[in-house]
Amino acid sequence: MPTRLGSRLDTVWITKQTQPATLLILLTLLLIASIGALLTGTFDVDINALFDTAEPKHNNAWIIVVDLRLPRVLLAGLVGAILAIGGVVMQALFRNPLADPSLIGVTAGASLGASLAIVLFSATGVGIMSLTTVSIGAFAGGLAATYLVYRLAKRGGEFSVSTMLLAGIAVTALAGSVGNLMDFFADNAALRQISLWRMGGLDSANFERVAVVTGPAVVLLAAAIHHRKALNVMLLGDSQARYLGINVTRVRTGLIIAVAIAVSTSVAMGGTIAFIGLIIPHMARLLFGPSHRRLIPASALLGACLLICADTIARTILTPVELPAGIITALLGVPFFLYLLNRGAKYV
Amino acid sequence: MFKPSVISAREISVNIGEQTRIQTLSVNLYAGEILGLMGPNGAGKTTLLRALTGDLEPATGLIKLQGKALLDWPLEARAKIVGVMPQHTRLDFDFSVRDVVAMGRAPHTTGRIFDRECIKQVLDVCGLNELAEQPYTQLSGGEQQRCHLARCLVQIEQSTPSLDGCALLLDEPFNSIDIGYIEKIKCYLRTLAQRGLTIVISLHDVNLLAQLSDQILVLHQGHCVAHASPAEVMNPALFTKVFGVSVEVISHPTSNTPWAIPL
Repeated sequence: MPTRLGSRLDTVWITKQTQPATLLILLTLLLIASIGALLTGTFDVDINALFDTAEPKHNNAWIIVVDLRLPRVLLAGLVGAILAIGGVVMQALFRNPLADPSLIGVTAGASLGASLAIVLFSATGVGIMSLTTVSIGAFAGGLAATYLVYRLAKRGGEFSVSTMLLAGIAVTALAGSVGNLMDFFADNAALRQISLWRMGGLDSANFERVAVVTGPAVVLLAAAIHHRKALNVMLLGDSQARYLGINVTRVRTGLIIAVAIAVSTSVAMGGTIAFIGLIIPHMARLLFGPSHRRLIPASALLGACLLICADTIARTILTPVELPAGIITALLGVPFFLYLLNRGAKYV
Repeated sequence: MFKPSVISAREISVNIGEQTRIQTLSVNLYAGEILGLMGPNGAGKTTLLRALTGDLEPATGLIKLQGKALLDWPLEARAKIVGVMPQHTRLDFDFSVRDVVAMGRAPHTTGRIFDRECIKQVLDVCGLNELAEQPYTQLSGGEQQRCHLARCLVQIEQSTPSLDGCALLLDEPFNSIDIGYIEKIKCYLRTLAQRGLTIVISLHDVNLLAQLSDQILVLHQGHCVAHASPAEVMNPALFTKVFGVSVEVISHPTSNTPWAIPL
């Protein structure tokens, strides 16, 4: 029974008093993971070489760590945080612990947008600010799909969460089949590029891309934290939230826009990265309970941490070949998801 | 002395879809009054309550809260003075009982210390003290119902002793709650009414309703067929007409309220 998944599985592992300390520990873990990720790779960098200017390898080390790996780690962290917060927000808005950002069609739309861009313009075309046409296509596709889903759900002025769920499924299916049609007509080179892009990867990271993702990430985090109380109350249902003084329509519209923009941007920069939006909110809930006051910062930290680790594994495990990070997150995510399903079943 | 009404509905008709569920009904509710809604299933009790909460907009007529049109009230200001308990609430996330009850203070800015005192009191009234740290989803149906009732009771608590102008709308609040807790909660509702709170309550248990209410409004197929004190409303003729059942009405041995026994 899926609805039981939202339940705290046994008891919360940490008490309310120790929650701030645990958040600090997560932050420390994130820093350690980031430093680890900066120093490991095809070419392991010795931390001394980095700061010892007399060392002959110093310049090389500096270039690898700061110019190549730093933007990649930052991008991984931001994308991970966006997907995790997006997951938390979607699960609250849909009042369903199985929701994730792709439910509003954003991922499928972005995927289709990217395929279109690859087939029509070839991926090498450079757009604005070193963003490829693929990124722009993905961003536009994600936003367009979300807009379509939202319009369908709002038919007749009355918004319905279950209609939105169904509209999301329909739009995702539609985008999927149009995407398949693209695949059918694409030549071999384009086909390989499309499927690689779909697996998700952060190999094109640079500081411009980091800058582009930072804005939506900050806006999403701020919006989610600002509405943390409303998100809690909205778990009781729309009318109950209204009785408790929450302008449900305004909060929901604002948050869906923030999630759509942030997730579209992140998909545009990192491809579709599976499972973070679904499993990270669950992990955070296991640690902190369901209140959004702690859930939002905890999910952001855990999401960033997981994607940085997954990306580091992806680029080191088969050196010199780089795996797309999306493969690793799914490989890590599916077993955990099955474990949750299994645990959830005990309460039925 | 002229007493302004807290909630007034003037000739309202309410439709759900194509169907008219409430037909030109007028009712005035004053501070400290407990109004009971009686009627068979589908008579329009829930529809009337949902209109009074602003969930359903009347097709005709006007509802006013403290003299101002209900739908003109900002949600947050209204939530401070009107608490609503619908028949069903679904919550699939594992908040502790205390956290769920504390959501009732969400519209208020009375400070953490005051809120904690209010929460403590309603937890006590609803017999939830022992369960306060339990996860909500592991409670029984009756316990969950008490938890939501406590949340609504804590919502209308004000920093002043007087609750004049505040209202509590309860739709079958005692569903699956057992008789011991009902007694205690009933007493608490009475003290709230003495402090000036207006209460509208719908119950399928007519005897309980007669004990609790100052006035009873009987709905039958969307029409108001009686609106008077329990003693006047509770008569065999009305039961035959509205519920299609013959009853004998006796007097409760201690409270002297009317008590209907099906024959």
